[in-house]
Amino acid sequence: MSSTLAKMPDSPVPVESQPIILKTLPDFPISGERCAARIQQQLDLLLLAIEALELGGSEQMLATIEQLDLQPIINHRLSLWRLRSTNPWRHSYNRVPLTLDQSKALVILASYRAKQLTVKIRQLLLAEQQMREKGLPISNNFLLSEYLDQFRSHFRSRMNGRRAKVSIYLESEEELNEFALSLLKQLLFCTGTTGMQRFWISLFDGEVA
Amino acid sequence: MNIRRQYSLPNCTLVLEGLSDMNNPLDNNLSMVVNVECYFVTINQKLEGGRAFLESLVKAVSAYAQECLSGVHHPREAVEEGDRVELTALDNGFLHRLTWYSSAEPKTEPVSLDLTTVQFFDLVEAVDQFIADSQALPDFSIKLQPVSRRYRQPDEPLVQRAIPATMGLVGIAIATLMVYFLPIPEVKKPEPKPQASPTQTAPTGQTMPPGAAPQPPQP
Repeated sequence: MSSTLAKMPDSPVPVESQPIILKTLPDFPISGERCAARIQQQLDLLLLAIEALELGGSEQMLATIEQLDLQPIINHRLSLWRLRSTNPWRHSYNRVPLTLDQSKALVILASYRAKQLTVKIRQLLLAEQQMREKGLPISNNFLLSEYLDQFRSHFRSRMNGRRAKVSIYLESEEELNEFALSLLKQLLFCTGTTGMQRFWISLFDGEVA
Repeated sequence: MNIRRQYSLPNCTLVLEGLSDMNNPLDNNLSMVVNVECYFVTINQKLEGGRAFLESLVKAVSAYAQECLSGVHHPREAVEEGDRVELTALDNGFLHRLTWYSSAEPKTEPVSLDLTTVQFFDLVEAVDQFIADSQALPDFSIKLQPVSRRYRQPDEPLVQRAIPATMGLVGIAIATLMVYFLPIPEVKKPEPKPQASPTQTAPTGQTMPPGAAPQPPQP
């Protein structure tokens, strides 16, 4: 007994072990390029919306990665950028598809950040509702205009205008604002008790056999 | 023992009332639901019913929440009699209509509530908290599953996909019309040619290949 104990290695975890938190999400096959591209695009855009919600958003993301022990998958700033560059809409699109574990890690990251921002997300959506009820332009609201300006600026600087859908958004400020609000609604659903699972499963809607 | 479980969110409250397991007096779990109530802060109408109502509410809310996230329509189960809840998006895209068909006697008109996204999210959260609650109906669960490829929306709307086929048909129609107006070519029957005189074949000895010089007669 003592000899077996003595033989146990001191190094804490083997390199291949994946964070336990990934097991909270079920496995689905990423079937085909269309499915992969949709997931990659959706994940990066939600993270973009989170960045528009809080100043220093990318720093907060790195802190959350450390807090959740996701470093085996996203070990530094550059690898987070690489994973986000799998979004086909980006200037820096790198054509390397996300693995299932990498996708899960980004879903967990987005959901945790969204949870931290619940109050702000709800405030913004309530403000949107009030503006619509009064028939006023959305951007007249101070809180909303701050988020929308940030989102538009991030979107313009990072997305490739030669992509058909991106060019439509870049041409029309109103369409881009509506798009930013639709992402905000998705973030709200990520903040719930089962928000993370709901969001993960929704990424495979219409993609499984 | 009577047990009441309540899930309160800023806009929505879900209340479950029922009984614990009679066979196990120490068990404080809500194992049989008798009455379910759901109400919203700014809406006077209260939704209520029994287990059938609760099941229908949970299924409808859960499926519609997934629709809101993915944009892919989730198929609804066949319509059945009794308490039933349906959720649909309104045309303006900002409100969600919850329709409740009550089975209570006397028959009443279905009740419709228009919920904002935040109100609907609070309802989703109340439902999710109830499902996650191990002390309320432990046998009650809902399986979240992505919908199959059959329900995927096409990348291009039907109108756009129909354009090439329509253009093809219109092209054929125009071509047919043009051909219709073309004069029908007259058919000329081939005239029988006069019988050619039979050619006389020269005796083989006299034929010579062109350009060949006549050979002098052999001695």
